[in-house]
Amino acid sequence: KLGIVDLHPSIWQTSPRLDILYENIEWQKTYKKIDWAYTPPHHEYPSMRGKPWPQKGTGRARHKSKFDPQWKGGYKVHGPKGPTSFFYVLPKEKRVEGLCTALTVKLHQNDVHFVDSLDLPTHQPTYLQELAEDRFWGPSVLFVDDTDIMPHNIMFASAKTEGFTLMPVYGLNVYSILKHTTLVLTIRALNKIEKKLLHALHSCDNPKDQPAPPDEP
Amino acid sequence: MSLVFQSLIRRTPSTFIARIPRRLWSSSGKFPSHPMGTEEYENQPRKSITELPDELTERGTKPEFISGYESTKDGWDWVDNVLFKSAIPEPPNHPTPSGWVPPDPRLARQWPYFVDRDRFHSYALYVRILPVMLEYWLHEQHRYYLNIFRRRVEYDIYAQRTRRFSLLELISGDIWALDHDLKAYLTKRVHLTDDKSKELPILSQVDEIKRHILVEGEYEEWIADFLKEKGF
Repeated sequence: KLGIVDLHPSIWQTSPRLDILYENIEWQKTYKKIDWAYTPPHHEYPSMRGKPWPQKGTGRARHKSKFDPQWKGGYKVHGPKGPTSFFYVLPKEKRVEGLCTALTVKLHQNDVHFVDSLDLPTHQPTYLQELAEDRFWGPSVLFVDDTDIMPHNIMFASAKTEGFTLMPVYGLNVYSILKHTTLVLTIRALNKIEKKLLHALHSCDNPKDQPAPPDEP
Repeated sequence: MSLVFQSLIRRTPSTFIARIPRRLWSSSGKFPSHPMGTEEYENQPRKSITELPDELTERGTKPEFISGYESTKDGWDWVDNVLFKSAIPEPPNHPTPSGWVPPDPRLARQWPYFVDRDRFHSYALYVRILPVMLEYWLHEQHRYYLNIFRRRVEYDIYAQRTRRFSLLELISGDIWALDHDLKAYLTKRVHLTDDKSKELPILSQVDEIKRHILVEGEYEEWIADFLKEKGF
């Protein structure tokens, strides 16, 4: 243990909003969804002219064409038409509040650990696994660093281990935070997250007035 | 175009006749029926869409700029004042003439609940308007859901046939204690006005998950006074 870290209460001690957490998870699941179901309508079926058999005489039911909806292999009138997308963007305030709630929940359930950096002495995955077991970190751990270029050793170790994920700050999302049992943040990542979330909590960005600022690398 | 010719064109398959562009020819075929069909019109020199036609340009009417100018970088503060900014400034620590009152943490600390301010340093106090559920026969019950569409709700608002609520958000701590104190304050205030129509009990709905209180009736100003007294 190296020291004590100060955390901002607006992010790490909110009144947790479980409904917003649910909305964030549903958004993350559905916004990528595309439904590819397609049933061709009647004008995309082969020729509709021609009675299959004459109206009277044969003892069968009277029909006008072989491809009516009541037939097997016939068209469907109001069937699914083409790829439908379920894309939508959750409002920024809800996404920010979802992140703050997720972090609060993780902290108060003793599942957040702060680390000075993600440097390891070896690239062997057993080293990292034994370290996680000794410290009682759960079966799945999410390591968050401030940049997307990670040290080599942890890269190789976590690639071989199931459940250990490396993530830069810009990839932080509610689903991953809750899916992984433990959250391990570097101090630099913590500073960056706090700065961004506090700016989002205490500012008002009207997209009509100005364009969105570019994401930091 | 002659009807016989038209029907001939339509009945022959397209492989036999290449669709000759037959635009705007008169029925006798001797002259175009509209000036747009002439070669003269089609071969006009065309301007780009972004250029104004000559009649609308101000080249002749506007005077040319005569005197010189110099560019400086002084006075940036005046420009900065006008620009849109995303960061919200900190408010003063004293009450302002508009009636805004800063929160008092010393006073607010004693209660078992806490009502936060929003990012603009104002109370999270809003009005909610819902349509009234008219009495429908059993076979018309689905009509209630159809009538919640926006246009119908706007007509209900115009006809003043709505239920109005005041919503208080951003509550943390013991919500039920706040609900109790709020109802006591509002009933006392109602008795003070001596209004016979408002002697019914004040009804409220508490949502523990969304952390809000919904009070039936438009009591925004009184709830704001309540929050000022508590120091939130």
